[in-house]
Amino acid sequence: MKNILIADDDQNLALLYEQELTDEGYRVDVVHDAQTAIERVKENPPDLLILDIRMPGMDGIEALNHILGINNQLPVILNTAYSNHKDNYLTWSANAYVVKSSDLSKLKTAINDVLTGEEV
Amino acid sequence: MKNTEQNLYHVLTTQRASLLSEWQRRVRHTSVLQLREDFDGHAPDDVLEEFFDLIVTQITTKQEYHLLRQRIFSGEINAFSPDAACRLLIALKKTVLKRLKNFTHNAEAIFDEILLRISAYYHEMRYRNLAQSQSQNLRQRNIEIARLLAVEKQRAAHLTTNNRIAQMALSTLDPDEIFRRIVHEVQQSFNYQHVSLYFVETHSNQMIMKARAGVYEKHFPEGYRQNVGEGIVGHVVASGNPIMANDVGNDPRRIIAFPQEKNTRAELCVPIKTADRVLGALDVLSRKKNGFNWTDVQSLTVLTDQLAWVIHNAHLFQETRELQDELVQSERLSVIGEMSARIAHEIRNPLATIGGFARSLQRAPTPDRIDTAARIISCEVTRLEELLTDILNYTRPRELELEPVNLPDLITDVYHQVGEGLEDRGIAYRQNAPSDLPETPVDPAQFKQVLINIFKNAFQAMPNGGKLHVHIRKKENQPHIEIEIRDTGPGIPAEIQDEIFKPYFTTKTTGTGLGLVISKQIVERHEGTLSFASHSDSGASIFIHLPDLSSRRPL
Repeated sequence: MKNILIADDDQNLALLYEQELTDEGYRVDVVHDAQTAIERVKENPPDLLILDIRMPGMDGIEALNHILGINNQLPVILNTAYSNHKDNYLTWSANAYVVKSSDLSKLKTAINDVLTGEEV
Repeated sequence: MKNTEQNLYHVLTTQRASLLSEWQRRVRHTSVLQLREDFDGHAPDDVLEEFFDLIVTQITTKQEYHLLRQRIFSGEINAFSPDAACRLLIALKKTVLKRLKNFTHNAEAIFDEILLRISAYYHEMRYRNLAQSQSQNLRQRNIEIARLLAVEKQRAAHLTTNNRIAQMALSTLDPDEIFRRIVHEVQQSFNYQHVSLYFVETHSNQMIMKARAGVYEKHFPEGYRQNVGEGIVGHVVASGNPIMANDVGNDPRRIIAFPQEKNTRAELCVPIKTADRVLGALDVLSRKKNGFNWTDVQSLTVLTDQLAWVIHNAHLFQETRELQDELVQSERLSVIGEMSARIAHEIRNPLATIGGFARSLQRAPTPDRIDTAARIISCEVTRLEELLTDILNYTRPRELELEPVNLPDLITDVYHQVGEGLEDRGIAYRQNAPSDLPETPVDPAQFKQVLINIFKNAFQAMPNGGKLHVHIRKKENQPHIEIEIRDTGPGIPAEIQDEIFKPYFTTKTTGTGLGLVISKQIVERHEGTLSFASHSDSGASIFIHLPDLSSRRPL
């Protein structure tokens, strides 16, 4: 069973992801800020990290840089409400960039593609 | 986005810094430098104090003021030597730049005023010194010019203060107008036949007549031009030295622009220059042969030195203003960018959550899921509704519906509404109010909105508990009621204190960043004020001052 770590400060949304991805057969772990996500990656690296960008304290883009510094093999999906962050070249090092939607199929496809090694 | 903004800001400030240093360098090397000895130590303390007071109350923060003052008094800057004035100006400009971020056109106006005062002060001191060293006759003339200039300055200063709004679009120091007035004053007070002011246009190597007064006023076409090196004026500009042609009719250098000009028998032309550059020339005509003497040369030289200053200032202002406009524009863009990111976040997150849970229910409506989903969906809908209210309140304020209200009761209600379920987070609430507090006319719904925003901020500042004290005060002889809401959170960091009343500014990742802005708007529509203080020991206070209308006419 693949382990997915979700970092999103929006607790309700994180709960939705947790439910849906558990249904899909993943083992899901949720944190609500970037700092905790970094610690979790250090202690117990997941198979995939889903990272929100706008979070209190350190934002997801900065966190992405730290995390890739620790483990540059870790697949990361940036999942954000704002499509324009895509213009920021710092986001290009993520394996996928998904704009948040109530329809989780895009996110699920991205997860599947990244975990099976197909680039999105 | 942040980076781009910072880069732009950096580029603009560097450009400005190099502009300023160039200006400073030029000023240092002009004849003004010679005046340095005359001025050092001569600045009266009261004048200094006045400037400093203006600066400290209107322009800078106290720390900046003390620093500036310390630099001046330590002798690092000699009080009001031209050099000191330059540095003072640069320091002020930097301050203005910093505060530009607030769009305080106010500060700009005050800055203009200070600049005017400094320059008026210069003119005055300069004339005073000069007058002492020259003949009685010349002294009177100079005093007269000084007076006229002072009147001009004062008029400009009045314009500055009265038309702060118009000034956003227009330059206060409209150089054309100043030049026009100066040539008229010179022509009239010295009774010259004609006076013209020429500027050098570097790229065409020509001189353009910028202003004129006297008998030929109608004869010269608008924008009359002459080549550098040709005619009396052309020679003066080319050489940088004055020419007194007391028999101009027989001077081979003369150019006649129109037949009537033959009535002129003498011409005196003085360059307007800085140490390294001739900016233009002042040309005066007389119908009498031998109409000029060295006194004329001296007083016109004094005048052209002033003009060089005016031109410097005008250029500097022009360039500074253009840079400021760019900066303001880029800030607007970044505000829009920030706003759209925030709104996207604020709308898309709840929508994704609501839709996601709805879909999940469609697929698997198990009882426990229905419970969770219903709770979360209603919570997210409330969030969206609040967002909509905030945006609408900000963009389209509602009319006030005032009614007398018992403030302590209203505040207690709001506290309970916001603080529901927060007791267990360890927040101790206390409220004091004078027993004889009159009922205060407020719009209850809107005023509640203000208090909700403030309480929410306070709660968020104390995630691990703390104390929340509300003090309502009514002091004798004061026309207002004060409400202080004090928390024991971390306080407001100095670096964001200038920002917190700006729209879309927030330290949180959720919310529109409009709460405090709307609150301030609402309080101000009650003719009150909203301010804050950050305490050095701990916590922050928000102060609401409402006018005590019980002592005034009923609304």
